[in-house]
Amino acid sequence: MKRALPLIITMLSLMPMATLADDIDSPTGLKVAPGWLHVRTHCGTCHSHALVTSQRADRQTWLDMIRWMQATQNLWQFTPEVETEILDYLEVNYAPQPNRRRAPIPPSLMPKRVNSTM
Amino acid sequence: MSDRPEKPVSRRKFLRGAGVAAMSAAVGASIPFARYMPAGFIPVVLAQSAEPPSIPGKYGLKVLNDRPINAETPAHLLDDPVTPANRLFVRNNGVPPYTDDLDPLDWTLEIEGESCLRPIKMTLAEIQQQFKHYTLQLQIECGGNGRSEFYPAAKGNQWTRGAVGCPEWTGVRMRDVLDFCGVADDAVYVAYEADDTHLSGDLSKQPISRGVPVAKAMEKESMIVWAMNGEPLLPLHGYPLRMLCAGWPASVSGKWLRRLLIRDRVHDGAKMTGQSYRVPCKPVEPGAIVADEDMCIIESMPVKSLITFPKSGIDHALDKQLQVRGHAWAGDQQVSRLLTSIDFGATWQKAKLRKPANRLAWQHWSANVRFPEDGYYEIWARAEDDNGATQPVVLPGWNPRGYLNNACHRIAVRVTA
Repeated sequence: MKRALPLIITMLSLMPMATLADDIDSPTGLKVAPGWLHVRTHCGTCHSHALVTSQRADRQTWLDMIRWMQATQNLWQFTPEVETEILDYLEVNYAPQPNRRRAPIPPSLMPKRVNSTM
Repeated sequence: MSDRPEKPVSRRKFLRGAGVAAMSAAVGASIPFARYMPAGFIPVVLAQSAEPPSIPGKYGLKVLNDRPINAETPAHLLDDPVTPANRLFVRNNGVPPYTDDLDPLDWTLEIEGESCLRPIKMTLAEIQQQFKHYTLQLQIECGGNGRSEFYPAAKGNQWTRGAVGCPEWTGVRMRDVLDFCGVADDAVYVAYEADDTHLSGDLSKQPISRGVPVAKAMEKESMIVWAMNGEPLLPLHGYPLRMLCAGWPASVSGKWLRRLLIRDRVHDGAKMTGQSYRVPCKPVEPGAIVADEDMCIIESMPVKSLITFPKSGIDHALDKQLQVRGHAWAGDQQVSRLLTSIDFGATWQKAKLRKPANRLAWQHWSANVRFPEDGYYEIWARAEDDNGATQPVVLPGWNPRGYLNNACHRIAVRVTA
């Protein structure tokens, strides 16, 4: 319990921050931003929204994924307007992260911070 | 961890009998492919819940997706020498079949195909009676394990490290079954067809149908199995019958096995072609667009290892020795040595490495580590196979779908005086 307490406090202090930073729709995990309702409906009918929210890609790569699903996975055709709104949303909200060949060990697997005086 | 079935069930009850129009109204848009929706199917938009999903029969797994169900095991929960069923990752391409009510012994398997001399249909009871039983410990790993580290991000489930495990499997040798049915001289591939269904609900589409060249199928470790660790397979792992061809991407080891096809060509089923489970035949720069014809099927997986103890992020006292341990495996090969480093790869120390329980089982390693002074350390582990191939410290070659990341595993340790 002694060990778990600082972790719980850290988690409690971080949780409201996370929801403030981005407006997240809690059932789906999608960022609430222009176009998100199209993504909720058209992407979520077949698969989990986590498949969207865990992915990062540029506009062309998102379009390639849509075309692949349309060609092979029974995804339907969108009207040009809907397709544009979906791509705008994905391009802005799920863009590639900064370039790197190997990232540091993720924060969740690091020792807990002991002092924050520095 | 609490099981999750209550909520979806109540929604299912609510929607049972509801027409497509009512469902469309609830979703807020028309559902163009409603005709493919199976009865009782709930669009994910409605079925999803804010609580993180858990999977019955599983402990401590991180669920990446709940439709299709995909979940991985944190490295420190893979410490057991033989992976328990409740800690084996789950990778699904489609919707698992409903198998609750079946009598497993009545399950039928057909063996056919262009190069099958004596096509036959057998029940599981007949298979168990006809062929000799074997129990082997065999490692199984998703081809995309480690995908999350690639940049530019690769398409697919963003696995970290835990889509791997090494349970003990019981069944029959695939070659005994294949010989019984007669493999023609022109046979090239052995493929599976299974009972899972496509995510879109279109019953004419298979979610996945892959396989292996005849030579791999005929190896004495390639099996058709009905038990894991002495128990019937869990539903998510292919109950009541599946294939097991260890050392290759786990997707070659079909679950809910219904048909074995002895093909006279490289199998062309779902996820055999295009870019699925393929890497560029020649190395490419990160982010390259690679034409389908320049992509080659993945066969043996590369050399790899995990640190399963301690858990990353611990504090450790300077005056104490730290025991570090884990597993190492190398596709079709054997691991010949394992090295650890506590100075970011500047120097490496040889760990104690055990022989595998049998060919294609992972190997256990351990090392005792002392730290020179207090501070932040990372322990890195790096395996080498009997061909001399080792794990890279940075990411291996980028590929469009993010397969085969065998970069060395790292854990963080803070040493205190």
